[in-house]
Amino acid sequence: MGLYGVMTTSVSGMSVQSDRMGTVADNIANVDTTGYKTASTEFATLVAEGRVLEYVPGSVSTIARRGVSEQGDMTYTKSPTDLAVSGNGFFMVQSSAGTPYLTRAGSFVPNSEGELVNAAGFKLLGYSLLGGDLSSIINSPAGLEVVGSANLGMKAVPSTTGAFQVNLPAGAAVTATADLPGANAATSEYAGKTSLVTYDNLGNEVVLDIYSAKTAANTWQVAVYDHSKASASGGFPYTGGALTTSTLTFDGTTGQLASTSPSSLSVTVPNGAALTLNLTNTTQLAGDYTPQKATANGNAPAAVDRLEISKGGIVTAIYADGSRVDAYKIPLANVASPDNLTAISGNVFATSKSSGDLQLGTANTGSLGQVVSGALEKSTVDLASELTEMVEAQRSYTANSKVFQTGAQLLDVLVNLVR
Amino acid sequence: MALTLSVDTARSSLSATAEQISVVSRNIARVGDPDATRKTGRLVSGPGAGVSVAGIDRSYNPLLLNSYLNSNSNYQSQTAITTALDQIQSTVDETDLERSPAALIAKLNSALQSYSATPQNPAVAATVVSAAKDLATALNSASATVTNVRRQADSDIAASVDNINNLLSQFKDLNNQVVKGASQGGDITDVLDSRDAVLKQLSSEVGIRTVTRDNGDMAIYTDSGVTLFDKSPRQVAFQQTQDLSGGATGGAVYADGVPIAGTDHVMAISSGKLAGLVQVRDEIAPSYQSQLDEIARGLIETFAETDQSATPTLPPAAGLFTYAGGPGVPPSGSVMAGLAGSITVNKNADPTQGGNAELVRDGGISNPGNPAYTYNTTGAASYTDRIQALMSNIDAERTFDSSTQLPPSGSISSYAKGSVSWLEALRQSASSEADYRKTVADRATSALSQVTGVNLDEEMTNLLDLERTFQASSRLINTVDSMLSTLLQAVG
Repeated sequence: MGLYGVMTTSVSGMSVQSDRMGTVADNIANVDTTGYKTASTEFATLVAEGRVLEYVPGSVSTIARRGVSEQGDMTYTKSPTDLAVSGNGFFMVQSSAGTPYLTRAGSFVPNSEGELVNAAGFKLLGYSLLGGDLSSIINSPAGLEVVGSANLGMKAVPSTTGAFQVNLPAGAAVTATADLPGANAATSEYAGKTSLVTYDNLGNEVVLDIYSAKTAANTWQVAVYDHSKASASGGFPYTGGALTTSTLTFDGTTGQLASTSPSSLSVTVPNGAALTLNLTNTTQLAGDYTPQKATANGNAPAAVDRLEISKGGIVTAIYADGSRVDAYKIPLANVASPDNLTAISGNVFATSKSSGDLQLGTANTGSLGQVVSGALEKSTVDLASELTEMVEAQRSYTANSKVFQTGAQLLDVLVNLVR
Repeated sequence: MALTLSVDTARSSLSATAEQISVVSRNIARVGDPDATRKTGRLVSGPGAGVSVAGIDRSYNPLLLNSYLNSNSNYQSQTAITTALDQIQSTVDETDLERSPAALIAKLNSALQSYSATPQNPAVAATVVSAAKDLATALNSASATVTNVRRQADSDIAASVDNINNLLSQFKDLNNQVVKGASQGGDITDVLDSRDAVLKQLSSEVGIRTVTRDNGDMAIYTDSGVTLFDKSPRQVAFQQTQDLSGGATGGAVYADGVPIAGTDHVMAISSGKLAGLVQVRDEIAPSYQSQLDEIARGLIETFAETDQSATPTLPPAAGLFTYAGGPGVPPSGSVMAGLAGSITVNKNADPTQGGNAELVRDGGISNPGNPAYTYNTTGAASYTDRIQALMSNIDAERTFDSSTQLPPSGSISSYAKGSVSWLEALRQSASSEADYRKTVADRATSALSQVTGVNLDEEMTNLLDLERTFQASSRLINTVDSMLSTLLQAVG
């Protein structure tokens, strides 16, 4: 009985060592696979429980482990849509069948529909921010959408805010009331003019002409006109009159805007939105008419040029004119026991009973870590340890086979006794 | 993972070094380009354990660039003035040839003196007329030259305005690329260099001031604050004037609908070629023109003939010198525009046109048929009263227009001399001012290129450093490779 026991035990020993060789082979094969987590083997004894007087050899069994929670090294790439997680979180991706999975393999590229797809064909999931920021994130894949630029069409932003900061020449001559820019007469005079590009609701460029003229000591009139309504010579009189006129007063001592003076200029852009021009820092000092800052927001219609992903997982659409719109928030997922996740082909993991339930959260919160754009998480396989492991497995296997061989020879001896 | 990590780190170092070397090679390739700035690769550690080039920076100094733009504009405006003055000076006043009106008046005076010594000699009378003709021709050609300079300035203004519009539309393309590149984090250093180069060219034409905004967007204003570029170029317009002879005024230059130079300017530019050209066209050349006109008017007045009747009834009439509006004498004391261009010697006194040179002695040049203007009533061949009177007229005090920048009273010869020295003084001060501004502009150029330009020595040193880094990283990969092969041998 004992000799057979020796042989079965050594067979189980060889079997677990070949399992171990299997994980080593898998690891070495995936040494360069993005997001791959090292598989390892643990062994457990199987003993025949009985009386100690007679030793019954047991056997050994393999428990395969995967070090899913181990952080891989980051490698730098040139593509901003290559993503890696620095921390414990996972990206949520979806297979072509629509099943959600977790992954750390973030080599995403836009496909023909603008969706971000990784090398294994899984599509990145995120929450859309186009309808406003998220109030909360629930612990379920519900509400997640495939991240892509398909539903980010062309857009135009009408001008709403801006700044107009100039130095008005303190020494300018006082203009007669009938000749003020606000009078919109052919004889209108002014000390300075600045034209400003704004955008209407449809993204058409509207040039506003802003005239300044001194009406009395420390008092200035600012008048805004639509440039397209100018006379043939490009100046006064404008058809339709001024869009707005405002009277600014300055402190004669400091040259700054007086506290009683309006500090902003409100003008409705023709066919556009109400534009508020901030006048803070407009001064009346000696010297020339000097525009310091004359600018307004808004942009002409533009299409999405590319996507940019921040550390917080916010996907920002960059339009051709350089304007930016936050389009998606990429959540990071985690489970209670990541090492117990079930590995599925394509570097993805599925939750299992032993891993615990899915928990979703925003990047940069808790231990989820941050999203790194332009980087990939490398395989956690260490070639040197795999090779040494291989040597160990080989030796253990040889030793087990020697045990088997010896058991067989002993049986041989026993059989020969009969002759 | 340690060994593969080492290889990865070394690899990232190799790729970063390669990228830096490409930056160095770009610098070296453009070492002779005055608009090229020095580029450096910005190294950051990570992501992961490695190193990467996060972007390309350029050495840039907005203050020095601004001072370059200002000094260049100032220099260019003064150069335009000096060139025009040299042109006026060289044709009007060649001192060796004594072609200046002042020298020719002196010649006429000495011819009159000879004639007063031998009034009976018609050949001497002819030299007086010929000296007078020289003077009239000199004034005509000087006037034509001044008109020519103004016309040239006017067409140069048109060319300058075209150039400005052209540069602004180039600037728009480059500015759009900068804004787009800056918001995407791409390498925009070369585009920024090109944009600065356009600014430099623009500063030659007109004084500018720039304001930088979000994403590297730039707005350009003239030195007087008129918008030239803000997201899109503004129209700079100018209408050339065909006829600028006499006192005709040229058109104004408009930018964004505001007259910035020329007639009725509101927000006048103060520097750049455009400002210099407008100053030549509207101030310097017209001043000199009006001085020439005053000399012509003074000559007509000096040689005018009065009614010699016992009871004078007829008005004074133009004598030896007359003009298109003769025989009446132009109103005294004020400029008659274009007179220098039309002054001639009366053909009644010109022997080559069938006239009689001796009328200089006798009077009656204005109308030989009318005895009222004849001074030598007896017809005596030795009559010198009229000649003496003319000579004292030349030295007589008279009133000139006070707007000509010369003393409003003095003799015609002193006025003519004053005009010559006014022009010379103006030319000299303009030329020394141009030299000074050139020095300032040169200083600004060298300061800018020292700070932002490529220095070959520095690049070569960098190259050596990078080569060493590359070698060290390669060695690391080599070492890890041999370590792994040791391990593989152990397995085999």
